Amino acid sequence: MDDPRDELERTRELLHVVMAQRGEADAFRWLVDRYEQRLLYFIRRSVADADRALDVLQEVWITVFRRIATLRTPEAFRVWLYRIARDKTIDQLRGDRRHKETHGESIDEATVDTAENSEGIERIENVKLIHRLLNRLTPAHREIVTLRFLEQMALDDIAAVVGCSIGTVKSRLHYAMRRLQEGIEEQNHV
Amino acid sequence: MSEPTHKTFAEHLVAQDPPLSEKQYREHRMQLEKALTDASRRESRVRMTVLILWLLCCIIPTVAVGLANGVPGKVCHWYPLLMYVLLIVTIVETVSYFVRFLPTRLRAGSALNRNILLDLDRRISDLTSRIDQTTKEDRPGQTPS
Repeated sequence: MDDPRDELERTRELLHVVMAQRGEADAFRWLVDRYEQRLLYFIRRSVADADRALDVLQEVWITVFRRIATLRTPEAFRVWLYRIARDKTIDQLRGDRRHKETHGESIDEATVDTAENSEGIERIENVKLIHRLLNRLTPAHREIVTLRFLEQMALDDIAAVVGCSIGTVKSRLHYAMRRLQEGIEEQNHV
Repeated sequence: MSEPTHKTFAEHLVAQDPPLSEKQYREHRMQLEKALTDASRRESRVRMTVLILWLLCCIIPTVAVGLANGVPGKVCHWYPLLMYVLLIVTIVETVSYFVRFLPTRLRAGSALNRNILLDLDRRISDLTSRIDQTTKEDRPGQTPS
């Protein structure tokens, strides 16, 4: 059974999404406060400059503000929000003409049956190292693993955010986790 | 439980980025507030403009037909181009209003929306009391108030 505290948090979020859809400014501010730091972390994995990342974040919130009433399923708010953040980040990178076309990097999906369980490396003592190692991943792998770490998103939710199949998400996550694991082991041997 | 561990991990991960300075953060929030206020005003202005145009597009042909003694063919004969333009604008305005603004208005004021809010409020009260109960049970030394 779900922890009632988690259920309470989800219900509170849902309430604030519905209230924000009705145009209540305080509810919208509550959502901004709740997601701002994690969203900024997500954006900064692609846009390193803090000021530019803040500009992207601002654009994300303005888009959310304009479109929130059109969101048909308030339960899907988180996925919808990250999808907007991803689109805005890509727009920014395209604008800079520095976006390397690595999002479509192919991996042999047939060899991967299940996604790597992230709990093995998701430990506080690894956090600094993981933060550094994220930069070694390709953007396509980094965004998936960041969503997994930040939001504990399910594979289908990640697939909805990044706009690819669950199979692709599984294989990318598997590959990225293996790279992180190797990085951690490498560091431990030094 | 994996969830609290995960939450702590996510918080620690977010804390790894160089923090924004107080000034940078204040500036960002001020700009965001301003941008949201501007966006809200712009939305209201566009909504009002669309509504006024729509009303005008309905009123003008009605008045014109009235002046032509109730014969629409006469008006079309006098101002054919104007009538076509009005017709097109009316259709565009109506579609744009119904697609863009009306669902929001209807949803905001609908009974379904009010019921959802009431239901969510009730669920939050239930969960809060369940959590309080669990907390009290976890502290056997304390007597329930």
